[in-house]
Amino acid sequence: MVTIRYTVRLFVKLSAFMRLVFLISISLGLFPNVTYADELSKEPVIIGIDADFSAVAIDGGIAIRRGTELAVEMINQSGGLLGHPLVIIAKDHRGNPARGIHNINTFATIDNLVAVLGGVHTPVALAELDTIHENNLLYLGPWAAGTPLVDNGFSPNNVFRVSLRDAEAGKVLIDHAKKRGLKRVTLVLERTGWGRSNEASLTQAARDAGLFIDAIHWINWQQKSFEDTLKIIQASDTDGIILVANAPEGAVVVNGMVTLDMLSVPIISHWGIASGNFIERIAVKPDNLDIAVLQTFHFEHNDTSQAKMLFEAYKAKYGATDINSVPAAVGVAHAYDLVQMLAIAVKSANSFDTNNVRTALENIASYHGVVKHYEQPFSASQRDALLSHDYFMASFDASGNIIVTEPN
Amino acid sequence: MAPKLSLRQLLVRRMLPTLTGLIIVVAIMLFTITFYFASEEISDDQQASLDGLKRDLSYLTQDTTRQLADLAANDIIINALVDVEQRDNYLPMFFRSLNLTQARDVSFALYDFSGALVIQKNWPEQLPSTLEQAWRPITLVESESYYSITEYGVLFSVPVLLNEMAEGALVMYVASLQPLLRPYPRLTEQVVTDGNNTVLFSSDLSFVEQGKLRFTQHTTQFLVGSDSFGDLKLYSISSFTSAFSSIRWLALVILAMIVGTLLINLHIISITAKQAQDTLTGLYDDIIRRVRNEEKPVSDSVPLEVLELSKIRTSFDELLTNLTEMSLSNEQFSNVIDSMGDMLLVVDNSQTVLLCNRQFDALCDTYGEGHDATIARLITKLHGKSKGELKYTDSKGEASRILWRVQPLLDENNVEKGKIYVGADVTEQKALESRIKILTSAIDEATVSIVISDIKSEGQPVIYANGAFADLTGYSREEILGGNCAMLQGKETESSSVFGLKTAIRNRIPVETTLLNYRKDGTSFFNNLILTPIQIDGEVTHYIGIQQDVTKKLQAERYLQEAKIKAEESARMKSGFLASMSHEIRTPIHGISGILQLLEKTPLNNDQQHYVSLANYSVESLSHIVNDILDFSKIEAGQMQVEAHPFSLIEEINQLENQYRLLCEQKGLSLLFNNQFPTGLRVLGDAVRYRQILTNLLGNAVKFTETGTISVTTNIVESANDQLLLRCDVKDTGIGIAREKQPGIFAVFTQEDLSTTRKFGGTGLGLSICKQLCSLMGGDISLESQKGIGSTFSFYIQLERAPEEQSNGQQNTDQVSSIKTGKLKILVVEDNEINQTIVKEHLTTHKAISAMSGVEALEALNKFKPTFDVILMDCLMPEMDGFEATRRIRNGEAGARYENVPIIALTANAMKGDREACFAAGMNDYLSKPFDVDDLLDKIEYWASVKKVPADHAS
Repeated sequence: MVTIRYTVRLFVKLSAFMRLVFLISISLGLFPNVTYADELSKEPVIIGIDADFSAVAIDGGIAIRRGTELAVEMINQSGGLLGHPLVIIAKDHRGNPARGIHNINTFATIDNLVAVLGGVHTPVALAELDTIHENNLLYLGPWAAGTPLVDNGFSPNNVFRVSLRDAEAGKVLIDHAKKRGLKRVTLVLERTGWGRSNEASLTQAARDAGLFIDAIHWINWQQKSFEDTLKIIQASDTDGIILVANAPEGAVVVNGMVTLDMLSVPIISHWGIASGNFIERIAVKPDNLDIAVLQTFHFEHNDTSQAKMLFEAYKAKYGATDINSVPAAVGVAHAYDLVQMLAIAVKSANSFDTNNVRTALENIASYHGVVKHYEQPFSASQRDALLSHDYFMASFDASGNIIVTEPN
Repeated sequence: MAPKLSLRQLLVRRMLPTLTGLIIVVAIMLFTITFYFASEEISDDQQASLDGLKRDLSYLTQDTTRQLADLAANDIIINALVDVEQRDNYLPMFFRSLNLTQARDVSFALYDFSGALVIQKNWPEQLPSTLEQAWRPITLVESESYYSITEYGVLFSVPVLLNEMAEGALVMYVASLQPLLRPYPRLTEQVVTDGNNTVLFSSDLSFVEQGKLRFTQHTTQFLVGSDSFGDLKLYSISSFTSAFSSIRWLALVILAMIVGTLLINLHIISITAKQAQDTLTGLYDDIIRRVRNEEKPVSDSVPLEVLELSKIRTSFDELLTNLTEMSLSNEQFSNVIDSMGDMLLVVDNSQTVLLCNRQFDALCDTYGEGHDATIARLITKLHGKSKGELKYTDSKGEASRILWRVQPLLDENNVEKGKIYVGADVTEQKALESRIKILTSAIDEATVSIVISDIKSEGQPVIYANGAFADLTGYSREEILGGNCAMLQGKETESSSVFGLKTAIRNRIPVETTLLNYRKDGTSFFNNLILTPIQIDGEVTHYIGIQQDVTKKLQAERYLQEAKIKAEESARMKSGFLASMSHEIRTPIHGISGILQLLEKTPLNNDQQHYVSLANYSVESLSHIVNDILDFSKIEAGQMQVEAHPFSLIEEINQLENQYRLLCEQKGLSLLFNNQFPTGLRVLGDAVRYRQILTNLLGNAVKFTETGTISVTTNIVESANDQLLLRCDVKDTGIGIAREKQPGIFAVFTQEDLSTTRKFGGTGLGLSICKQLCSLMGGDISLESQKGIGSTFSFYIQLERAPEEQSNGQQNTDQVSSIKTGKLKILVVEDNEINQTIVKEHLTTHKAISAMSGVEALEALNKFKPTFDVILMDCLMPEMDGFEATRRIRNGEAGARYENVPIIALTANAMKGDREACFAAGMNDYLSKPFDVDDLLDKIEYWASVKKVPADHAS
């Protein structure tokens, strides 16, 4: 059993409150140790989660937490980390970089912290980089795809990622557009670091592939309407839209297209829309959309033995579900693989020291994971465990579940 | 002696001071009232001014908060909180363009969730720390908007919301409240201060300066109103002089009015005094002239006189005239006393007659006693009395009664000089009084309550009520007299009855009604009230009311009504119970009957054959009894209806003949049919019920006849409009029915006597049912019988001639039976396992599959690959009944191939309407349980072939 505490709102009383949360977390975390009393009698070590649990990518946040919980449970069942039980402390950054930085600062005060798992939002992660490195914390990225998050210029680089990489994602999205026979595309990007990260990779990929980019349009967070811009797109003779946005803004774009009767224009979407309640927000049946969404993992598509095992464990813990309807399944798989790889590294380093674990992570020879079988997932220069050949395009079925339509 | 004053001088001297005093008092009151209302108005102005100020403040806070919230909801602001890296590219520009009020020096700042400044515009270097901190917990933690108005300035903060929680705050600051409140003209000077009287806003800075507000120095020169807005204090100030300037002119007007009034009054007094003086002088002159018998000088112009003085003059003139006419003649006096109706006699103390009138003389003459004797008797009899009645008898013996009154004759000194006798003839009055006494006591003692109301008087009061009224209502006469009978009415008295009464009284007509009345003690009773108008001289002046307590009578009626309803209800329940029981009994009987039919088909030895036939016979008898009970129940419950279908009369009779022929031969009876109608006659009517009647009568005839003949005579009489009257006599040579038993033979549960029941069995319902059926078909049944000789039952029913072109509505089984259908696939939908078994056993030549309910049937139809040819559908089943299942099949829920599949209803309940319900649900045919095996097979084969034929044609 794992204890989760979200700390939101009460930042004013934060220092006192944090101590309390910490104590509660520790005490509740210790409670199930009765089971492992003999093996796990040592002080618990902490793995932090810093993600959005309440604002715009709730599904993604919960998926990351569940993947982490399942991995931590398995690690604790097989003796914990170097005999220490592993306990999760989760903090909600609500997609707000300032909150993210605050969370990282709070994690830095916790003794026995092994690493922090990040969330969906690239802007938050980018804003946190300074604080992460100042405090020498290990940052494991299960979702945020921004290229500069990994190529961050820090040395040593404390970021390890099992997720998309926008630079690679750009290629895959452009390739898909080309495969669809589109000649001219319009980019619709959120006006954040993540949007800009994709602007760079998509324009580069389009140039390489000889695809013409008609225009680049930006959408603000929480923008209420996109129809004015969509009218411009409608008037142009673009063949399709490449969408880089989270669920709320993605839904604003799609609903605008519904209003303007533009559903015949194909949408090729980055996976931001799959991290939140996109389906609930759109005013059209999902299977009426011509939309392809970028994914790295799907329980049905990635048929590794680990994936099957994880799906069974997921059903056992969170209730029976259809293989297609695990919300934001990528988050579950990425977080699970990251935590397992962290455990491998800690064991091989035989230490919780950040520098030792970082080196050990860089030197994992192979890991039989959920997403795939990783061969040398990380190195001193390579911090992305998944690359374009691991990505695929998916779409939504009538119930809004992600289904894989394109073979790998 | 003081010199005499003239009237005019007196009036002026007396009235002027009083008048002046009064006017001064009124003037003072006027001033006071004016001042009071003016103060009220000024205070209202103050309040209006304060309300306006409150509105302004409220508008300022709400509108600014709203505008700020709109800005905070702008996606540029939200995006800026997320897009930390590049917000500097667009946020400053957005911020520079911010402005909400016309006030200059407005500052804005955007803070992140932790309260750290993100960007600002004009933000002051230093703000008091209280102001800097106050908004944070409310806006950043509680996600609520906030404002504060203090001496340090005005601050608004609103949360920047992401999914309903604050991720930052937009804050606006203005150094002072002064520029924010619009400087438009105000009713009064306005000042806003904080709790410490520090001025935050002043509508006229030259009037009240910024700083501490003090009122001490000029309090008397100002009027101050105050109110509060949150922590703020609001003042409305106006100077005394300006406040009351508006009523200054009013004081002048009032002063002018007082002076004017004084002058006018003075003038009026002098005119009045002069007028009075002139008139009185004139009157004085007139009187002097009259006394001196001088003529009024003609030349005098008539002076203007006031009414009162003129009246005095007139009265004085009349007085003079009267005095002149005072000398009345003696003769005139005698005439007067003679014209009196009463007798008058005046005697002095020595009993000498001083005066008597003509009537007294007449009395003396009429009763022959002579003057002196009459007087002597009168004086003697009435000596010492003030009145007395004397009886006088005339020569014819008729008596008169005179009532005498005696009064003393007094002189000027009140000394009695003699006596005055006045006599009135009261003979008639006495007779009337006695008559009235009799009537009154008769009414008084009457046992019905009687009241009389005077409807011409106000409130139509009761002027009479007898003793019975008091007994009935509990009100004593004193209580009701002068009152109105409406006092008996109460809250539950029927208003319609009261209205009826009032209408009748208004129209002066008699009325009778029964209404709920209340006694004095509050108990109610039903009052049967008869009101009769009393006419006097052609005009209705009174009403006489006769009242009777009919409560018990009404109660008795109601008990009877309730008893009747209960009895009917009980009869209905009984019938309902019988109907449902009969149905419950029929189901197992069908089971037994079906199983017996199956058993008969198996190889049996003779004994077994015999037992089975005995069992069969018993089941048939039981079935017959149950049918009788069911029919009877239906009749009693009013559910029995006759139908109208065309049928051939001769076919029905032939069938019956075939049925009974064998039975009669077995008993050694001869059976004769005499049909007196064209053999081809087709009629419109209920063949089933017709057959039922005839079967019943024939069955009885066979049952009760040991030897001889049974003859059935049928004839048809045609009337207009194709109406046919069928008359049928069933005559037997059986045991007959005794004459005294005949009248009840058609009643329920009747056989001739109990021994008959024991000997011949039966329910005793048959003839009763026959009679009911006959009357349902517009006919009747009758009996002629002689004990030991035989009986003739005759009935007639109404039929119609069947339309020529109408063909037989039912399928012609003969025609299609030749079409061989081969082995059919049949779905039997039936929840009763016994019935299911029976049907399936009968269908062994075909392939039958069974389903227990409509739901199962639909499943089976959908699941089975081979197509069923016919569906047999029970109507009443759990889960989904046959009607619903049929509707669904017809709607294609079992697939397109079954939309037209033949469906034959199987129903145990041969109630009226079942057949229609089956066809309405989309079934093709109808079989009533228990059914005949051959019937079942015929119908199945017919419908299978009907379905197949068009299919063959199509191929």
